[in-house]
Amino acid sequence: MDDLLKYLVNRARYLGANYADSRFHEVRTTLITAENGSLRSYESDLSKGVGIRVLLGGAWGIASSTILTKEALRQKVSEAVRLAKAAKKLSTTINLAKVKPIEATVELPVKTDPDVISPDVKIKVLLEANKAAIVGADIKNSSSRLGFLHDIRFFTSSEGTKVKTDVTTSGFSQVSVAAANGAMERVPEQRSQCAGYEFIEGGDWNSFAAEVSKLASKVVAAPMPPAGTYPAILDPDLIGLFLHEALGHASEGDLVTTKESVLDGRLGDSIADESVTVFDDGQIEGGYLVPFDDEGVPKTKTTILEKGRLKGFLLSRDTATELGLEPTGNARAQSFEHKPIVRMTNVYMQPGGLSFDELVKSVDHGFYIRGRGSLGGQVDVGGGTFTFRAGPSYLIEKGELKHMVRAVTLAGKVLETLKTIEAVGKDFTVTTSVFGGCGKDGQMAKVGDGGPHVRLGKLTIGGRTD
Amino acid sequence: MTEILTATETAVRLAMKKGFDEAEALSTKITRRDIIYRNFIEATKTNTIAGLSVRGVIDKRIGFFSVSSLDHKDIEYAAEQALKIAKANTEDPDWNSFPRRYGKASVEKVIDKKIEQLSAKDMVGEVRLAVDTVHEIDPSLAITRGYISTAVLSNAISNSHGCKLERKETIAVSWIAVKAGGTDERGVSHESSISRSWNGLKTARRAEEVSERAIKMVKAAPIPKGKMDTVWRNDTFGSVVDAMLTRTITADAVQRNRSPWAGKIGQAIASEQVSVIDEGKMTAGVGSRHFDDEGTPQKRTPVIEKGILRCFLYDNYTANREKRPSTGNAHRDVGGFSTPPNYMRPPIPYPNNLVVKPMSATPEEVIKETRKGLYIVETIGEWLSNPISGDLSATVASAFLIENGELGRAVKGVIVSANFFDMLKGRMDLRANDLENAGPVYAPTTQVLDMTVAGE
Repeated sequence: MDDLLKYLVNRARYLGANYADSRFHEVRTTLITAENGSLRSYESDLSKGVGIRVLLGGAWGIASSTILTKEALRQKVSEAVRLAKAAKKLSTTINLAKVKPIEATVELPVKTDPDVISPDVKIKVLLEANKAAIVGADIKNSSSRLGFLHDIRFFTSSEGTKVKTDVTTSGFSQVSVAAANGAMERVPEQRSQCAGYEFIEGGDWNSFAAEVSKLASKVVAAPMPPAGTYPAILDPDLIGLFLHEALGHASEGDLVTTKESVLDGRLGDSIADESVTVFDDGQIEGGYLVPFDDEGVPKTKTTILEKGRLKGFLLSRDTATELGLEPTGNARAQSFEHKPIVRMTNVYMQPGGLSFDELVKSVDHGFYIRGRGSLGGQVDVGGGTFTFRAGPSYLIEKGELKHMVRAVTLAGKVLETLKTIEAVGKDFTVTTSVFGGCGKDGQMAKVGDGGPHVRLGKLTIGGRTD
Repeated sequence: MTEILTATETAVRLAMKKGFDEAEALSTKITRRDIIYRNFIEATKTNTIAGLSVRGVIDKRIGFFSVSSLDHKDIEYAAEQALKIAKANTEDPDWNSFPRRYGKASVEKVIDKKIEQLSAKDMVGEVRLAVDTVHEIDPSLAITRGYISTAVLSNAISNSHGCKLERKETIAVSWIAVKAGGTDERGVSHESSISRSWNGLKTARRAEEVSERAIKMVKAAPIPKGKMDTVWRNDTFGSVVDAMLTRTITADAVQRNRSPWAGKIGQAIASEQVSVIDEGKMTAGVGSRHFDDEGTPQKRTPVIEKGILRCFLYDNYTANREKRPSTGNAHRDVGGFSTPPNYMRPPIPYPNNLVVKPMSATPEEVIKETRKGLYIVETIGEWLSNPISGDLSATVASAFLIENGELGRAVKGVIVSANFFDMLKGRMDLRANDLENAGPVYAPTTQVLDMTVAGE
């Protein structure tokens, strides 16, 4: 494969490209779904493709294909060059920040390749957990999934960089639907790790699935919170999602160079409390492993916020040049066919010193917002508004946890909400997901996030009106 | 015979030879062209994808495997893997068979020759049109992100009952974000388009709308909490209906006890003013196809008719379970954001073009009629709502206050919520005549009474 990729970038240079790179991407995915005690589907896929990216006259020309013969790909090189030339009149000068060419391979060590475990073994584990989730007559639907992703990437550039990554991810997910008094509620939850089948073997999925159902049974009868603005404690599952939406996206270099991000022009400014330090790290335990990005740049640990000060952005080679900074290894592509764009890897907050009890005791009237059962979130980076949907959460009255609340939607403005972070807990978790990911510009990327328990002074919560 | 049809026939033959009782293969070829821009062009892209999946059944055990290739050895590998999975699978007592007859419905304007023959020059020209339109309105406006993407999608399907069919469609998608103002006071707006034809993108009109709104959004602020009447722009209301209905009105959701509509056929679930029809053959509809992803012709299916729940949406499997015909709603392209090519997934029922029936008023009349309220243009997070409990909430990214029936100051950053099941029963009975789609849902500009606003 290395030789073919090398041939393609040489060919592009011969046709006039100032710079060229070529990526081969092989993905094996397996998704097994059981529902209400029987197997629903077993989907498996093997995809391979090559993408060629050329820089010529200040614009990118990109061509890709799943047809992997030398002749077909040679044609694609010509197309990429032709496309870059066509854009000439309306293009600007894209300049890539200098990087030292490297040759490296990172393969995630895996004890058991999920592909060598026979389908019937996986089906048995899944069906057992799926049945274990039917904990009572009120559970109307139990849907369980096993997911496996084996992602292999080769990258070769005309500057001599040659890297290969090989990452396997495994996970289990459960969605339970409960009904009571004419109302229905669903609770989704998953656990994944960059690991082989040993991750599935090491987990008690029957208990995990049953717990999700018990939560669904409980939350279906819970009230909605009254709409308004409250102090809130976010748990480690949710603080990651919060930082991802409220800070991570706004720190993406492409959104900063276009001045779309509300963080444009604020490098060095204090935008949060001194207790807040946030990183983007491609190699944190529990997160999704990204040793290099799809421009062959090593993913370093990037400090976004240091003691409340905006310290850095997430950058590709061209956005680094535009901002006069060093690339951080955040140019990522969903697959061979996509253009690498600036993406997060694993965004998390550094823990502080407070215990969970101390955090709860400090809230007079507010909510303990939990990530378990959360559906995700979204941000309007330009407008600076973010939102996310929490899992079943709890009312806090006079420093004590009270009853459960359901359907908690939260929203805020990026800069205002960051300033309301008041206290940081001492626990710490980072997680990723084989099932989901982060969407941007029509591409999905595997990411992770996390942190400690954190108290916010003011967060808008949607709900009922009394 | 085309390459993709030959590949499916080869796959079915190989699968049967390996021991399946029944087999089906679906192949896809996609040629995509994209252009990514800001105030200038950043990248131009072309992409070819070809792939195939094999679905086979042995003793009522189903196997499925897909490969990104139409080569003989890869097809053989897919058939072998599918068989391995089927043999490990548990028996599905509800399995009947693959369709024994395919059919083609008459559907118009799903192929645009212009998209098939599109040149790089055409795409560059369209970007120039967008950039010029924005800057003619105000040279200080910045296009922060934009793309135009087109695809020619060819599919072939065949099965071991001797059925085979082919179809071809085109699609064009565009998206643009424009920013007005500086670092502190800023307004950003987005517009998107999806169409079967190149001209359907309406690039100049979208660029104009997004620019004018971005300027108004510079002064946007939240409003106090309370109850409020609202008017939703057509496509934004389409996203709401997408979040609240498309996954629960399928026979699959009903049969598996995750639909709140189970057991309610024939009952009034909405006011008489509400009809929701799946128009599988709509001219130029983004979900219109001659046949669905199992070879069944697409058709018109009333889901809610004058408030009465009439019919769920079926694919072959869910239809067989109830011994009734499929409604031609088998889809392999469900999944929302960045859905993989359809050959990679087995089918499930899903709407083709779900139309919320429009009324006769113009959108301006609906706003005028509302007197005092909120006109909601852009939201985020509406897809996080819960279609099973009916809890709907969306965070407003772009809206305008309605005062005395006129649009007033810009609003953003508040959460609006309601129970969708209650909304259906008389709180969304005033709708305009302007159908527009978001994903598979076509909706008109719609008034929604009495929503909860969580703001300052």
